Amino acid sequence: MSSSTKFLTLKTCDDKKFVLDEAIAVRSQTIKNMVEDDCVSNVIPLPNVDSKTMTKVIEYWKKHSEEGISKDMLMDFDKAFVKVHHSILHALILAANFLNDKEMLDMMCQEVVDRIKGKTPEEIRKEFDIKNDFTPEEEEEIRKENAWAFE
Amino acid sequence: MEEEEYIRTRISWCDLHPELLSEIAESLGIIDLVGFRGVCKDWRSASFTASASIESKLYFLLHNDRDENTILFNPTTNKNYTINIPELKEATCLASTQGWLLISQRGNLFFFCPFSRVKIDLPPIQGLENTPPAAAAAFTSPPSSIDCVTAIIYKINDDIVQVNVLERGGASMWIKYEYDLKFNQKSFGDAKCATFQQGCLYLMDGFKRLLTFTMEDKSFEMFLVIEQSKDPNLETLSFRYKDKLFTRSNLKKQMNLGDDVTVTTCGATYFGSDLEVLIYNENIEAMEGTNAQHFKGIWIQPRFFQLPPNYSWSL
Repeated sequence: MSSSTKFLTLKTCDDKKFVLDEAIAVRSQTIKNMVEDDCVSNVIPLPNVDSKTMTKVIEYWKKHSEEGISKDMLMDFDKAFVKVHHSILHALILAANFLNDKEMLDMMCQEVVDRIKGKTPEEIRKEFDIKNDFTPEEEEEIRKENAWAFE
Repeated sequence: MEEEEYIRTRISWCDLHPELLSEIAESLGIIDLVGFRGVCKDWRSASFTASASIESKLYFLLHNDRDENTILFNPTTNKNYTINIPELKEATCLASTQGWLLISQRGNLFFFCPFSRVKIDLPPIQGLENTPPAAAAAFTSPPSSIDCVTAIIYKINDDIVQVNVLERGGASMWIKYEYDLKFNQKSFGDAKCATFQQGCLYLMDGFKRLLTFTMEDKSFEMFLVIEQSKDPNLETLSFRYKDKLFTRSNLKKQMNLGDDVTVTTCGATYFGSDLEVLIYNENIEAMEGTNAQHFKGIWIQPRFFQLPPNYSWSL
């Protein structure tokens, strides 16, 4: 028997459906486990991922599943892929974590690391839109801890 | 368009899964890590286990008896930083290994991480109220591990090498072991550096002599280190050693220290690509005729260690 392509339907939290080649979808360990445990009926619900994010994830999966794609092309793709607004980066990290795609998760986390590097706490807060929630006492303690590094 | 829609849904980098934040924190070097810890409460607590362990190169920490400000120098980037560290005033470092320092300050002994400033106090050595002269020290594992064994070694006179051993989880006092050079018809100079490997303490002097002390049977043995012999009957050292690293790195000039400055460095160890590397302690003299200012120096792998509150050596 020649193996015919099997398709899976993924349903995101905003009720959008994605039909995807199973061979690609199993880049997600979470989906792979569901397929292997045979608990896939026709639609796989992804309650933690919205359609916008899923579109990006599938774009990544498809590119990384392309036959004969060169390493350099993939590197260029990845480089451009992570250059997104921090809110998209955040959504992609949560999605990659939920879908259990280690490779993608590591790449997104590395991007966060790269955006932190060389910045002061204030610059990091600005970069990621984070509110400073320290008390004045804690602020003082932090200043003692890091003043040397950022003077 | 796409981005705007994302921004409308409220996202928060503070409550990203703690384990993901921890992973991110663990990928940061020392400066980026202290920056990360200053961002918000959640990030600060997520960095509890992060220690900047990706930093493999050594930094150099310069301190003196007069003030609390120390100078941290990164030889890789040629950058100087000034850090206020009261624990290093009037203090002498006896050993520096994997980010932990063993410090003697006005008769008190403690393990210390200068970046997080966590401290683990050790009992004093009986009969030794001041910093031991020309001492070396070593510990078997990080002082936060329950089976850490610490040894401080110095010559109490020309003839006796004294090894003071403190076992965590063992006796709560230092135990002294002595090696009588005269009786054994051996000679041994001032200790340059020490290390523990597989339960054996290795102590080097500046004349290629090696004194070992085995923890199991508390026995001493003396060896002579010779270089590159093909004699199959000889044992090979399981570590390397570097002498005069400060001088050879031209650090006095790199750190903009004047000719009137003397520097005493302590012994340090770190893991090189294959073997452990011992860095010998060093005395760098001032130029003759100058009114010398004295500094002390420590080679250190920068690490940020944290401990639970009220952490103590006794278990």
